[in-house]
Amino acid sequence: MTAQETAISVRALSVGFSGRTILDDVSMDVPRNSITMIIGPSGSGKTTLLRSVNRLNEEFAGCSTAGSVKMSFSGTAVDIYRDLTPNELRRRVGMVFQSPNVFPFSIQKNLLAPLRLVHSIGRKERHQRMERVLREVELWEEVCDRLGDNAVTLSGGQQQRLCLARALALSPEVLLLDEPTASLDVRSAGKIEELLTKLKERYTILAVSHSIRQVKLIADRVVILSGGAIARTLEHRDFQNPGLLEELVEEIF
Amino acid sequence: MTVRPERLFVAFSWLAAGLVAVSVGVLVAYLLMRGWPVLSSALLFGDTPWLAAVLGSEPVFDGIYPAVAGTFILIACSSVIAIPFGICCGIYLAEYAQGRLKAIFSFMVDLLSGMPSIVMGLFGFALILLMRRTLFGHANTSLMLSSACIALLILPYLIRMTQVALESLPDKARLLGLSLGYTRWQNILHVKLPAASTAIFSGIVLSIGRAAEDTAVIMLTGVVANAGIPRALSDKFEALPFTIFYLTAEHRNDTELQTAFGCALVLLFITGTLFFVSYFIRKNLQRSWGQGE
Repeated sequence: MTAQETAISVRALSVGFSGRTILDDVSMDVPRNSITMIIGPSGSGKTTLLRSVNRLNEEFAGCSTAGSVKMSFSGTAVDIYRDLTPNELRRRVGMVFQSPNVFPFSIQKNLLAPLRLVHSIGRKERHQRMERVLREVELWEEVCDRLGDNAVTLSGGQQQRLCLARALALSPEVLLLDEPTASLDVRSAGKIEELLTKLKERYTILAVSHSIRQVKLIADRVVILSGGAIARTLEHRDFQNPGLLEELVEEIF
Repeated sequence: MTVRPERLFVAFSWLAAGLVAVSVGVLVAYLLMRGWPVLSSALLFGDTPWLAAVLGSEPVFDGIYPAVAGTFILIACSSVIAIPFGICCGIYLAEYAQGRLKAIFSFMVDLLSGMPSIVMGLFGFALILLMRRTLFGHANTSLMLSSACIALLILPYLIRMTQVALESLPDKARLLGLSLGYTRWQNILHVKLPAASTAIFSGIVLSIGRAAEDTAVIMLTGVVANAGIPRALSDKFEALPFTIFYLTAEHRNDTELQTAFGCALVLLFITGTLFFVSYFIRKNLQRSWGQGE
């Protein structure tokens, strides 16, 4: 694993909404093919930081962004705010929301429609990709005989895996996850965590997390946000020391 | 002693609500009492066999069938004009309009929705007068003119329902398509409109109800008594609300007044059905956007 190669490089990023500063002068690096997790008290700007990486903040009224976010796509670094349109960017950066966010359509259409609209690939390949990603998130066995059912009939954990599959189907290079297990039971959360550990071999993952247990279990790097600024950045080896992360969190939160 | 005023207030509120319920009850009961006895196929078709009347092979003289048919034709024509414009205008206001322009357009829509229907009718009437004096000497009040004016009348409902339906979608629905890399247009067409469709559709049904019951607009723009079923857009036509009006205003005997009550029941049935369809759509089809929010 080339853990030191940087996939996302955030420099002096400040984001505000209608004059209210949410992120203030944030700089950080996200290594390729690893899991970087953002933690912090509520209102510390975690979700805003995540959304600045796929420029979703711009969809809210009164948003202003300063600083730069550079991403390396297939070896070339691009400034995502200068060199790409939001659409071009979002096609390369998958996102999974906090609570399962499926389209209220069939399971099949949840995967096929984005493929048709975003990549306009042929019918046969769309179906092949659907099966591949459903197997990748270990959902295929559970849904292969009910692909026509409405996706909202799936359990929360299944829906979240479907969302993950939908993001993967579009072949992104980076995955953004906003507390992907916050609304799930322990079992379903465990399944997603297991999946993420496998997926980091092929994708760069940046996730917001609410659980120290989860961070210790799967993160390679953790960024602690407080009041819109980075309080600490820790590497895997640092926060494995028993009690260290807990102490820091206690102190910062 | 703060209890007393509160009790008085609660009692008055109860009374107010009760009064409304009683009023509606009395109204419907009275309509039923007067209208029910005349409800029969003779009310609709007179002496004409119903099949011949529906197929249009024999004219209906004594029945209100031409008025029922006229009302439905009017609804259809005005919907064809108003629905596309209303929905597209709502999409524009919700998705594209910004700042000053949005404020101006919103004000115009508010102005239109506040316009009394008789003014709309007068406008249509004046338009025909103008046309007759200028380029179109043969222009006359007609089904086409009524439909256009009714369309104008229901347009603000459609615009607002569409706009509100789109603007009140939760963030998760709004952001999902965009996060997948959809273009703005793809997101509107494939995510937001389907998600807002139940609300928009029930708005359509309600505005159709409004089109069915308006009298003032059509009185000045093309409705007449005993016109029969219109064969062309340039024909005059009959409609239920107008039939009720002239039967009541000019009745020579009690039978004609009875017929007006029968007519009112039929109209109430049509608009009531539309209201329940809209209610049903909202209650039963709105399971749309997941459960997690």
